[in-house]
Amino acid sequence: MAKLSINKEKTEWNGISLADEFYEQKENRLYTILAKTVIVYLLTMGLAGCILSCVGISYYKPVLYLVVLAESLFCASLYYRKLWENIGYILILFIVLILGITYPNVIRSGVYAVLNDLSETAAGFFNTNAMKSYGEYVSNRDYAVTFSMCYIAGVFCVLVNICISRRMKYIFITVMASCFIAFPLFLNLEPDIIPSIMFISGVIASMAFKRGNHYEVTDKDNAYRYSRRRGFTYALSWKIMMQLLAVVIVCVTVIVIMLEALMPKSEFHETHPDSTLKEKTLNTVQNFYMMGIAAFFNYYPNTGGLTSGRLGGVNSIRLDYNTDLTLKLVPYNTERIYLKSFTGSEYAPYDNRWVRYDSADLENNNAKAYAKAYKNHKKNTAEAVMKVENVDAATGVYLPYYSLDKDKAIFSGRRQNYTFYPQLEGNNVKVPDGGYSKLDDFLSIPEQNRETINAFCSEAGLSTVKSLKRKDVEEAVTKLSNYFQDNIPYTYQPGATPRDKDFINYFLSENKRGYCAHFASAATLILRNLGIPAVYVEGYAVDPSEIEEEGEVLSSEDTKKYYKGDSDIENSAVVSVNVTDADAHAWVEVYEEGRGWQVIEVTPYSDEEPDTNGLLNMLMRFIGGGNSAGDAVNQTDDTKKEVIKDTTKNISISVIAAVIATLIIVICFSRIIKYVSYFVRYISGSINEKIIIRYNRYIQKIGHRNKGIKECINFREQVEWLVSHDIISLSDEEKSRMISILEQAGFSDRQIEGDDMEWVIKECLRRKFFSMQR
Amino acid sequence: MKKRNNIKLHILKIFFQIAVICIATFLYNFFHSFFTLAILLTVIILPACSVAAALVMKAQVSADIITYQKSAVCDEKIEYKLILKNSGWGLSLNCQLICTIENTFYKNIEKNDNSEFKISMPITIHGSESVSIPVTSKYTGNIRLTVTDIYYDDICGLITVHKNVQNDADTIVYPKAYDMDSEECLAYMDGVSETEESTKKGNDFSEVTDIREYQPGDRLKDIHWKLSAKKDILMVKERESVSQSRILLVPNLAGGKERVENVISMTYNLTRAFISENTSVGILIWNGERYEWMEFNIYDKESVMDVFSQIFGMSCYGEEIDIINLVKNFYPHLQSFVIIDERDGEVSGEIVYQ
Repeated sequence: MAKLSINKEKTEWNGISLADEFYEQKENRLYTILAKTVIVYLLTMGLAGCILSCVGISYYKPVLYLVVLAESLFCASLYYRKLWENIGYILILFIVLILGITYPNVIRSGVYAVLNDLSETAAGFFNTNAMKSYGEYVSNRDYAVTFSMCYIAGVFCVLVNICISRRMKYIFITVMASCFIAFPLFLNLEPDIIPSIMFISGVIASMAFKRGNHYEVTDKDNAYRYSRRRGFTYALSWKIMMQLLAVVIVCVTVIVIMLEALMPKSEFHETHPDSTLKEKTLNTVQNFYMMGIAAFFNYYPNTGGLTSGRLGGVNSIRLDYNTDLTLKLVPYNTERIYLKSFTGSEYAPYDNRWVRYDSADLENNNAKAYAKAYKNHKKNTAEAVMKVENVDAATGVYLPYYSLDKDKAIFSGRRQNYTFYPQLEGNNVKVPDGGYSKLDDFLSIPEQNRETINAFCSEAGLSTVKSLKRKDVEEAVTKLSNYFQDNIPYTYQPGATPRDKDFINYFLSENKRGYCAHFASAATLILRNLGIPAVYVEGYAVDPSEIEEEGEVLSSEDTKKYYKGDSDIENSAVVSVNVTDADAHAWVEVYEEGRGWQVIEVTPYSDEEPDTNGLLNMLMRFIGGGNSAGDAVNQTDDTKKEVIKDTTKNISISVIAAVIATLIIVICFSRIIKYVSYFVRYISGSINEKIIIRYNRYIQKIGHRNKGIKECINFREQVEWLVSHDIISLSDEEKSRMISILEQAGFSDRQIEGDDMEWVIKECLRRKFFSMQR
Repeated sequence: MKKRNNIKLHILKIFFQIAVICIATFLYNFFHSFFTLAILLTVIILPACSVAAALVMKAQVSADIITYQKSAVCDEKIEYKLILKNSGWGLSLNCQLICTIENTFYKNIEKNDNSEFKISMPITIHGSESVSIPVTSKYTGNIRLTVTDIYYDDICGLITVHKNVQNDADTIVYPKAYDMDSEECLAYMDGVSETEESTKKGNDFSEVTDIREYQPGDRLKDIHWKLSAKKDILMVKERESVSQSRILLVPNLAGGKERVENVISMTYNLTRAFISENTSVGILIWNGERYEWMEFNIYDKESVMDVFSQIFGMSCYGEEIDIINLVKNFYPHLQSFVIIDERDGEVSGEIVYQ
């Protein structure tokens, strides 16, 4: 009987009592269940229909619609009686298990069929060859899809039923459903009209029910209940539920049909091109599609390319724009200034890294030849000094072209002077071939990459060079650069290479997008395939525009101490330039007959902006394993296993941190909402309402420490309890006054006098507050 | 009376709706899809329609209270029916009706206005919803259930609209009937009758309405001797009193509720006893507003209920009044009357002679 929950005070007014028969009126639970069935059905079938129609897969439509209707009805019927609910859920669990064990292949096949079709669409949308495919076990696709969707929809029905029928938690269901629909929508797939109407109607109707406050199915089927705030309130009404559902369905149908008439769905994407926002997230979504959640984590730290030859573990480059190096130099031409830090000679396929080449002979030949020419006062030669300060970069060498100071590493916070001999325009110094005898080492291509490289060269129309003369080499390089520029886009978010794939093969044949490390690595092997000795190089590249715009002229410095000899730029002064991680770069050195090792640039131009610095990036950098390039170099010899271990540790910490942060945010947010709601109610309330709100808050506070007060069901009992427990001290007269004021405020329209309000709030409640503090 | 606004905005829900629209806008801007546009339009248009429908609905919603039980006795169940009607196409999940229930007879005593309660019902399209409200009253009087205000939310719960209504239903609650002690009743009767008859000799206070055969217990003075002799069996005259001054009861309806209740119960049962003894009764009730006595005459059993329903339509005195002097002042020719009052916790009648 509902009588137990009734506040008896409000069932009697001056000797007139509400008869118990009032609470014995029953709602029509059977019809209520039917109404709930409709909501569950709209949401479940709407979602299933939306996904399936987006994918465009064929299935036995009437069968699925009827089965889901039956499932919805069954789930909703669980609320008919408590006993039936308990039995019903056990029965559902039993059926789900039996079906899952008996027909695992059919269920999997159906899901795989949907995923395969979606994957095919995604591959087309992203213009990639990387397509996930799952083996389907059942030849009758329609049967498999229908069966598995009935199975999944059944499970979803249970979830919807728990969330919606009982508590109308539509936000949770909507967010969850949106996750399923979001990806097809991203691929410009549109659900059919009918499931769209069903799903939207389901969500809107649930929202309306939630706001109407009459949705809760309780174990008892009493038509009316009593609450102090809302008075006598009806519990559920199947009639209004059905009418509301009808109204919502009609409204949504009218809106959708009118929209379809004005902007036909089939032509919608032609008239509405992809948004800029969507284009910006294209890479991220593609990465997610290919790698799942792992796409959001870098395997190792990254500061724009300085990974000491390790490749493929970076999903997205995030720059901090902090100064890594400070250079002091005299500008001598309008070309990029390269500072070489790492040279990779041998590529380790599937290990996805370049093996460091430690020998100094690559630079030495050119440097020695230019130094000799300078000393012999040859034209277009010079000797320069570059002062490099390591502000926040990894410990290592940052060698300008061409220098003999290969061994001068700079520790963090220290300075180093590099003497170098720049290659000026018109420099015709012939670099001797001698000095190294293993040119063939720089032509080696791993077997695992050969097929892909050959296929790429054929596709790009690249052929073996006739000679290593400058003209032939430059021709091949230009052709390759142009091909990259035209066909493979530059991106800061290329996505990490899947663990079982080779970095260069994956880049050239599947992913087909990347940043400088991708292009430089691939170009190194491609050029070797064309017969050009090539090595992969990492370091910093400073643009002349950067020097011009951001460089600081150091007029106090003596130019002659920095630069002697010819220059392409006349009357240059000493400038100081800050080099950030945005300048980190990877490039290729190729060997040209008579010119030695020359820098070539194959990375395409792009106007894409990298992720900006911010809180999210800081978090992501942390997730990626730190933000220091130094770490990267210090870990040069670490095995990939260790890197993965570190990353896993970071991911674990990040997930825990994210969960804690989310929890804190949710708690804070709910508190804020609660306080705002309290504040709004208090401000807009009458004096009576203000008293009750303040009083209730005090009672809540006391209730946190004293459970006993929660058992007091009315003002009288509460006040007496407070007095008896010495929480407030009131005389008998004051006690009666307070009870009277509270009862008047709570149950009557008669306004409390201002004095009374002041007395209750300032005197009684303050007394209570102070005594609590004590 | 509390000031009730006609439209109340639910700020938090409106903020939430704006947030939903912002999210839908973002999704549309992001996906540029037909589906998200449909969602966006729905979350914009539906709340707007919902608010408009709620405003239009104000003219189409009405509330009424009916009861088929016009009378009852104390502690007997009275069934009221609260009906919420809607002649339009709007609907609301949350409609609150503000009702008051009171005993109008005791309105001068029940100073604290603690008779309001809320009851929520849905408003259905072109239909009516009803709820039965069964009540029992411990006290006699006129039980009035009134519906004063309707508050209803729109479908999306963004606004609450208020409408004033004023409909009520009354039920008279009579005291429980019990048999009076016949000796006590006769004592009043004899005392008052003798006084009346001795002071106004020659007057006939009754008229013959029927003649029937003698039944044991009939008074000797009612025997129709002539006709009895003629028919050879005893015949008696059935009389109906037409006098205004047979037994005049003056209940003191002042003081506390329990006291008034006892007095009115005594008056009611005494009246019934007198009437069953074929003695007409007059009841005087003081009307403080008009400053006069209201006189109710009862000649038969049927009029007992009518008269008491009229009495319960008035209200008790609330404050003490000097009944005896007031009666004497207004009715100087009256020789005697019976004051019914509570003294020392007991209700009794006192014959007052002038």
